[in-house]
Amino acid sequence: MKENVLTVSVAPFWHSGAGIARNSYISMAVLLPVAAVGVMHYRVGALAVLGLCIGSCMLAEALMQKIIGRPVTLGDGSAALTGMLLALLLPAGVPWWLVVVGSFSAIIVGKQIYGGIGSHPLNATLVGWVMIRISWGVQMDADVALANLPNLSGLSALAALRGGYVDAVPLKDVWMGNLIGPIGSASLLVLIGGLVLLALRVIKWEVSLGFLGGVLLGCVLFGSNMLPEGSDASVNPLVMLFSGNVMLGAFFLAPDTTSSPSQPIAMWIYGFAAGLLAMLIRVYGNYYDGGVVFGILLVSLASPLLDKIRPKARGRE
Amino acid sequence: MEGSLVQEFKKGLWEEIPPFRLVLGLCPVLAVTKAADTGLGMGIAATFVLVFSNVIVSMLRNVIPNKVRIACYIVVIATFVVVTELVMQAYTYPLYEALGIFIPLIVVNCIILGRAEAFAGKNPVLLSAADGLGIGLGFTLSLTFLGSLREIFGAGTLFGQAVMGASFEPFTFMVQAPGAFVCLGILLGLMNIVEAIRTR
Repeated sequence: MKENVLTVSVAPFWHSGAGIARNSYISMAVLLPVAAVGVMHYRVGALAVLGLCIGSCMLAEALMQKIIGRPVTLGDGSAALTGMLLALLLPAGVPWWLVVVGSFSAIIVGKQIYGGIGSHPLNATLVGWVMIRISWGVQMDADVALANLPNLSGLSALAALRGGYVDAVPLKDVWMGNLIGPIGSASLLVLIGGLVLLALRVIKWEVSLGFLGGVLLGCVLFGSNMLPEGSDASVNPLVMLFSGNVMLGAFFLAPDTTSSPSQPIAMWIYGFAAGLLAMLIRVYGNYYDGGVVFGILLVSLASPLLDKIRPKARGRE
Repeated sequence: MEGSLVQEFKKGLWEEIPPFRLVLGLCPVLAVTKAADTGLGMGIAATFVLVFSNVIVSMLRNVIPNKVRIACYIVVIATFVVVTELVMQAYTYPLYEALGIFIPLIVVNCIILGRAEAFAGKNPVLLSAADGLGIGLGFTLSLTFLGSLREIFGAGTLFGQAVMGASFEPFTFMVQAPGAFVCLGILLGLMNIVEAIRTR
């Protein structure tokens, strides 16, 4: 015996109390300040989207579980969290039917069809978002959706960058979500919430850090290509990190327990690839507002494959 | 394997209806069901090829050497595909344009080769014709149904006629490729549920 490779202690053991319900409620709690900032900016419009999203996600979950004859698990809060995240990705003032279709697609196509929580290969929130984004791009455009609401003008951070107006996106406004954008644009608060989640060990730090690293590398390598051709300005990497939904992606969407891998090396690769892909789509793609969403969605398809990278079991040659 | 004509015809309509029970030929199914009329057109074209290739293959089944049978089947099928293609080009040009590459690709459609290999190569002519007609009709029905579903939700029309009212915003996801996969998957699941209830 060279060393102790395993530490085995005697019973009784103590359960830490962690579970799906605890994790979902903590995630929702730390997102509350973000939602509050959204409501402050967009008033009733944001409140309506939030309420409708959470409500219809829970309704879809209950209905679907009743239909397929599974126990109804509304109490674990995962449907409500899906709804809340979806609402934070949407601009205020989107039509109500769009919110409902998005929520139902998220829960039914993204989650329940595969057998509910723990079995879905893709993040349900992202599936819902993508389905409505592809179908109704115009209504989902923050600049168009917010035109229905009074006292707001300007461009969303990413649209401004695409147009080359670097001065129109000061870091201070990007942090606090003062620019036009989805409800959950207050990315500094998202970051703080994410750090709380890390401290409470709700999410895996490898994925979040890998994701931010991927975004940062992408920004350094080709970030300034986002500006129109001929523009000699450069994009502040911090603006890139805090604009759009990068922070939401890093701390709330990418580390989704079901659709991300669970081995350390695999988690690094997963996060990093998702971040880099997010930047590629944001800089070069047509769906630049959905770079983060599409990046995570595509890479999570590879997560079962990534999970094959794991340490060899001791004692088996 | 000797069954009655009616039985061989009927099995294509439910028990072995492609592509839901007989999960073959998915590529054209996903690609051409953007609308009901392309689905119907593709189904009819495939049925024509299926019936005639089944008949000819069945007639030649004792002449074709076993070792090169696939190549022989392909020659027979390709002949009828070319006939279909030329006829469609002459008489239904818009449909020919809409289906595009998927008409020549009927040659490699698994359903047709599968029926030649699994049925027509072993059974008499009349039975093979009934089998081809049944499977082809089932394929046409499924394609038209899937096409109508996707067209109604994805474009708000059915055979080009508006059916959803003026305030309907088309759910464009449905007429795109991922919509085809989702729709087909859900229908497959529903068919399995129905089958499970029927045989309970």
